[in-house]
Amino acid sequence: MEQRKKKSEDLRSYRWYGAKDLRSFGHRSRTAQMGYDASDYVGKPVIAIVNTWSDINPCHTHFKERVEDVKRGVWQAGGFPLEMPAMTLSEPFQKPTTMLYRNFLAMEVEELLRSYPFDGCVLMGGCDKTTPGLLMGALSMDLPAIFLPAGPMLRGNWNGVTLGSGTDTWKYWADLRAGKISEKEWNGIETGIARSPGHCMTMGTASTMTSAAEALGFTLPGFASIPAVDSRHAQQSSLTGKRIVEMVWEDQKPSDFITVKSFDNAITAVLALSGSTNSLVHLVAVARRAGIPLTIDRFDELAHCTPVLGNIQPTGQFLMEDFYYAGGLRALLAELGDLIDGSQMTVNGCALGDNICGAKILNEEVIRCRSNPLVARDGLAVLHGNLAPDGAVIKPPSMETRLLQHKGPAIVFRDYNHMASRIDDPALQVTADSVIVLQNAGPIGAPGMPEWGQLPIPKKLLEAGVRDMVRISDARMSGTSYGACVLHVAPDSL
Amino acid sequence: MRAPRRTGFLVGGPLAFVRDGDLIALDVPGRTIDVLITDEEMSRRKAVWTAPAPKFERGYGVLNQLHVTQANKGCDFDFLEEPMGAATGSKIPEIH
Repeated sequence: MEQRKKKSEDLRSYRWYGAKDLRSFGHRSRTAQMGYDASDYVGKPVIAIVNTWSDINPCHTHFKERVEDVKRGVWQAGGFPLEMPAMTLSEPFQKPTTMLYRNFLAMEVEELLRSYPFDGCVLMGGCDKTTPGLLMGALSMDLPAIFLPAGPMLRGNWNGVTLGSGTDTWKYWADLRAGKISEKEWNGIETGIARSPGHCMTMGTASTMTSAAEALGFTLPGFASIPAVDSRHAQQSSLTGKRIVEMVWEDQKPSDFITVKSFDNAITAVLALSGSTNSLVHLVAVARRAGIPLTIDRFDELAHCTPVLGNIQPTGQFLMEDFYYAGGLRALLAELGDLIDGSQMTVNGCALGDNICGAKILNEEVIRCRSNPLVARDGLAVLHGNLAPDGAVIKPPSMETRLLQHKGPAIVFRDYNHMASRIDDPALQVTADSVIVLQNAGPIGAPGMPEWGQLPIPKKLLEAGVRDMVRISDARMSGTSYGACVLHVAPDSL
Repeated sequence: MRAPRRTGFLVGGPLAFVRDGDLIALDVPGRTIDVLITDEEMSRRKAVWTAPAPKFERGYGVLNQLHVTQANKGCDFDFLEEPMGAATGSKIPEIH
């Protein structure tokens, strides 16, 4: 541990517990009411464990156990842990989209940390928007903060076939609509595609954002790649609890380690993983909370020189469990070499370069070497034009290359219901060269910019074997999705 | 203290003015996305465009409607973007 920069009297919580007045009597007597003796908390850092567990969030089912692991660590390091439930953002269930509520969670985190006697916090999240929501709130308050990533679920399995979250849903749904698999087979996939706690195990938004959080310096090294049910996930949770207590004494706040360059590291990691397009919206929002004027064009600049090394679905072939066994994010960052600024500091008090030093790629198919990348560059591309004066994004590695330069007539749907009612109409004047346009699906229009951006391909074209078309909207797209989808068109169409 | 900004709804981006049959050109290597109509035609369409009615009249939906920023700015609420400082908020509440 670094030398303590703070004394007990300097702790923020001391104002609640340490004063000798009527209010502090109330705080102490009510803490006693919860079964704690003064020796449990007097003079100790009070740690908020912000837990986005909920009965309706399948990605966080293990958080009920993990919060106990964190508490064990906090107690052992001489802190006083208090679990603080915060709104969960359950990607599969929350409508119209979790994105509408990301800012709600961010506000809740900020106000929880402001209004209660906390000296530091552990942020427990992982399901897509929970990660940016937690980071945004914590950055605004700027108390010592450490992120606990939920970890991916195990590989899906059905009849011996490996299944990837989301990505294989879209694939087999297209096959079902094209008559290539039966209803019975579809039902079998339903029970096997998500078979353990943890978030999507493809390189969807969850894995993208937890990996970005690690590259930013917000997690213990290597944590974001560990599957949720692996015992090493519990071990890291306990260590996270220990570390936050040290961070309070060292007064290590996000503003002490978050920089323009740490955001470049996070973006480079996302690009090398061929991560979710959602990362643009989230990382820009997180950066701006830290006073860093990140723009989406920075993603395009870094994409020019960043190879895709993570061979993970939907761009690649493997899943997060394979990625972990192949060395995980530490090995990938180490392989990126000079593309990563190793001098940036992280929550464990060490520089990122020290944390990834010596990490080796253990399977060169899953994590490619720079000499043999999956895609040489341009994992994401930012577009401008008279349709998107403020920008739009596309994911070139996940689209058919014949569409990289394409001209075609628009078929316009004014909203989602309009599209849903017409897309499979046999009379719809559409060919494989048409460009499908969806309006009113943006941050205001939808509202919440739902993940509708992988617009459906008309059934008659699916049956004819078409699997990709140019599609344009002001919506987002699930990180597990793929195709020639122009997304995030700004300003939005409403 | 300054008044909170209103990002405002009813943005009316150009995507709203695309019509069936318009030619659209995507050029990923060139980083462009355009609808092949003239600026004059775009302006004409904008002039006759009527914004849909706001979807929310109360609650959190209104907060989002009034304050969410566009995708290129991260879709945060405009009044939360500022880093906290003396004028924009306090890290420690008063205890009385």
